[in-house]
Amino acid sequence: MSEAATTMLTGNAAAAWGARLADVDYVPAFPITPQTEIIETLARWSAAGEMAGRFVSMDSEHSMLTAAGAAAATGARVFTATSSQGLLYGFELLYTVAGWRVPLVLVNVSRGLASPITLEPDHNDVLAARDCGFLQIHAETCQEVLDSVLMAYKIAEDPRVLLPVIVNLDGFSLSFTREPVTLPEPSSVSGYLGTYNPRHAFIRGKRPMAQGVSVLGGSVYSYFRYQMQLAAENAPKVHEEAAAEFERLFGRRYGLVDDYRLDDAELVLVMSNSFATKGRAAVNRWRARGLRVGLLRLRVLRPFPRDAIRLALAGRKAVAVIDQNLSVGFGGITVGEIAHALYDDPHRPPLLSYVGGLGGKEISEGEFEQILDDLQFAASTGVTPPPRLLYTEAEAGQMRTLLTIAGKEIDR
Amino acid sequence: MSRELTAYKNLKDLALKEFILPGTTACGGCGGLEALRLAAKVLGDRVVYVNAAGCFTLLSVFPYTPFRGSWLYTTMGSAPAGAQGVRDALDALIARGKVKPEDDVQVVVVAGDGAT
Repeated sequence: MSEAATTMLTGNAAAAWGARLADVDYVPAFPITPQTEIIETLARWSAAGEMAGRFVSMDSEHSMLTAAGAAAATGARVFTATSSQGLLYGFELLYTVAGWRVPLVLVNVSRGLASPITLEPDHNDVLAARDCGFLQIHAETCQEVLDSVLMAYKIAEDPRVLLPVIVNLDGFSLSFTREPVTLPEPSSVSGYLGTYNPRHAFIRGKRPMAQGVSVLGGSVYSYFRYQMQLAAENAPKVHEEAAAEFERLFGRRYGLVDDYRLDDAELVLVMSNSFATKGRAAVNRWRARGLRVGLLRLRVLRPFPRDAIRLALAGRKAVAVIDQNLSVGFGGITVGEIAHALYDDPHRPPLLSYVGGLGGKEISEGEFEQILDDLQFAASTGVTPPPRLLYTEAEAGQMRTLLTIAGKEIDR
Repeated sequence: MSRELTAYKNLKDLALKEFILPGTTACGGCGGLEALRLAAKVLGDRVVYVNAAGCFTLLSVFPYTPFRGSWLYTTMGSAPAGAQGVRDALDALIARGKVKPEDDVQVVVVAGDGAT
């Protein structure tokens, strides 16, 4: 184990350090709040000669993701970053680039989607990309952002996977929060990742190759799409290997999911990203009252860690999923996937669904207490309360004031 | 990449060697394909053609390609950005000693083929 230094970094700076330590060859960039600090940092390092890779400003996220994919298809190790509307502006490239099977890493700094336009976090942006073929790692802390970028290259470049990876962090609550971060030694990271040596996709004068070619007919198309699914199914094993080697070199261990005080827990909260810290605080309050409650944090969202989730949740008395996203007309997104993971298990618990934290909305202690009441009710009766959209009376009061100012009236 | 300019005044000045081979899915008599074929005689085989959605997208259909050089289909409207990504990557990789200069290619955007 070798560690260079512990320093205070924002989530954005930690992401930039991930790219720098991975010794990327190329960073195509386009600014968007709350991601811009990442590319500003990389631009500064590149201009100062502290980073060997080439930094280029593009004209849009669509162009940026095209250039990122094309450079990766040329054989370069590529890093790029975006957020929210930017991810959606480049959306068709996510599918296109994943189909090229090029192992680039894209950091998404989560931010609620328009309309109404806002800047603070929720996960509708990154979860819109859940079906495209990019793997997804969601980070809770600044240290985890840096470490996950490194692990993302290790996993993406593995010949058993060869799929690009999105590393997600929350805008504002993590992107602009300073936390102590241990920076690994560049030489240790270089030993961990090695040099990217593409064998399947590259552009070289002496070895012409046609890439991104069209297919005619559904059977050829299906073959290549199925290849992506099979590669994603290899990712949990590759992730475990990457995590084990990461722990050996750097002393920190990451799972597909992250459990907190889960061993003897009867009731479980499921959350993801930086708001999971609020869930940890709630668990600590309840534990202090003698309640057996724990938290499961979703970390790797693609591939969806079905087995790890079943292992963590089956047999509990009740489970509450707080989705920081909203599929309009469906509800929380991850609760449906968790239900799918649990359905075949005879010991599946009552599964409660909450939507909270949209656009960075606080999840108050009172809302956690309501969730606890619901969990205890479900555990004792076996009856699952209907899904809830979290909102406090105080927030409703503030909203009524705003509506009055706007000259609107609401029915109560 | 520095190269000397050559004047092509008539068909006899062109190379006899073909760099785009026949038997593609393009329509018989496709003028665009003929233009591309003649251009390729000048460009040679150290080329990557970067394409956006258009008729030429159906030149490389798995598992066939008529090009002696490389090919990258991007998306509708983003071939220039794709070409920049390839160029930047080759420049970066050559500068870092990861790709030999003789493995460099000319990056060519193919456009005007019915959709661009």
